[in-house]
Amino acid sequence: MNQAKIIAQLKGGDREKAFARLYRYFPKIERYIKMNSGSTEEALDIFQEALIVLYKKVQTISTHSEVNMDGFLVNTCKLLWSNELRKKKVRKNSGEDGLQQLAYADEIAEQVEKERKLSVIEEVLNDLGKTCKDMLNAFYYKRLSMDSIAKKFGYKTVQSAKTKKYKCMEHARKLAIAANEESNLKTSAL
Amino acid sequence: MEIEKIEQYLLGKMNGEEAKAFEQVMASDHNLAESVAVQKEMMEGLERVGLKTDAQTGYRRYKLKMWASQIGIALGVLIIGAGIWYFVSLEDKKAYCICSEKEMATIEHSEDAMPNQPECIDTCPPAPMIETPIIESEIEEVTETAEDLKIITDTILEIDTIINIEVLDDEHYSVTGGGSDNSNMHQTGNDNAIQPEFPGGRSAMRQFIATNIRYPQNAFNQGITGTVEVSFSISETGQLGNYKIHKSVNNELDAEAMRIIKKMPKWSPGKVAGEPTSMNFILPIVFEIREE
Repeated sequence: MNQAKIIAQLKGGDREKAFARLYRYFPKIERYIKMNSGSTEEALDIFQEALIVLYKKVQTISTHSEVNMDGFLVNTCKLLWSNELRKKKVRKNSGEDGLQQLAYADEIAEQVEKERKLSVIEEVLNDLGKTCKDMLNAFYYKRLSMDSIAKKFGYKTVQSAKTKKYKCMEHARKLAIAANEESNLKTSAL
Repeated sequence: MEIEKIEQYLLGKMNGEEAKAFEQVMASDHNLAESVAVQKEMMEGLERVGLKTDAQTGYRRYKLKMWASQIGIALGVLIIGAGIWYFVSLEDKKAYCICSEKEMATIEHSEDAMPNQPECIDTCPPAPMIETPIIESEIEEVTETAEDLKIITDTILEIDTIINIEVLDDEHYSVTGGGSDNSNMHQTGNDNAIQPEFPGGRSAMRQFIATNIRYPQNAFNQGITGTVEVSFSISETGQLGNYKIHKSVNNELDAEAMRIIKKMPKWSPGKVAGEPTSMNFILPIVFEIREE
């Protein structure tokens, strides 16, 4: 597989194609997770999460970087799965200890933790309502211009689309603050 | 507007001086700093949601590609295939026969189907057809009988679809013909019974199914395979209806098979003695996963 090409795709916004290519490693991960008391469903979740972690990593490196992508992906999955097993209180004797020595282990762990925190925001976005979510997604993720967003969402003027977008962001912010407070309360209660 | 400013700052749309000034305000304004942090988090959350969606799309593409490489095209996973034929069975609706592709091909290509019929019949249980007590009245029976025509399609990997009319016995023809001379009926029956057909024929149907069908995810993940048989009627106008699962595998596969059939356009209706006639059809759809 052409690693430079995948990195270029991940950096260049051709994410779907790159992910489709990277899924060729999925069967390997699936086998690994199934051998360690997991299911295919869980393997899919883990793999998806690992793709996000890899994506974030790739944004920080150059196209011709020496980073071994499949190794990074596999290690991420292993670490994610060991976290999952810990959560499920299934202690595995074998393999656990070696994980800290995996390449990129610290880096991966850091990003995994960031993503875990972001899942709170993910819920907020799901509560936000479809129009707002789609609109924010179009602007911040797909990086569409306000012009095309206004057209796509049926606003007569760019300004009214902008106003709507700000309102959505404001609403989302409020929800996020409330959600953060709630999760802080929960954590402190524990 | 605060949100707008924060957005410009976070997206790097401020020039150096503006950004510096903004950071200075932030340093002294705790509330603003927090707003910036939340808005940044929101952008990262949006990225996460977007990436997940892209990963899901990527997974679908990967699966599609995998299937395609297994058999050559997406047809590889589920093929509608080999033989489509129907037979008359008024009593024992479950009885149907399987004729080999070769036999059917012979029949199909022969100009006079009659001499070849026994070949196929050998492999079929003829009993239910012969025993069928059909004739009670005459003309009215025509439709009823025709409705009971079953068309079975079998779907087998890598074999072309062949549609054929299974041989009908004397009694049947005497019904469809409205009670004329039996010896003639063989001919007229054969010439006049025309099976309903998907617009564009069987290869079009095969393509329609292949392009529209998707392997349900859970079933795929769990490796559930099997043949779902859906029965439905084709009215005199070609309208499909009376969809039923004739043979079930599991909910997901049943639903997918049903979805495809319901998506089909109007067919050209079957004809008996030149008259468009409503008929029933059973279409098996094979869900098969092939390992590379």
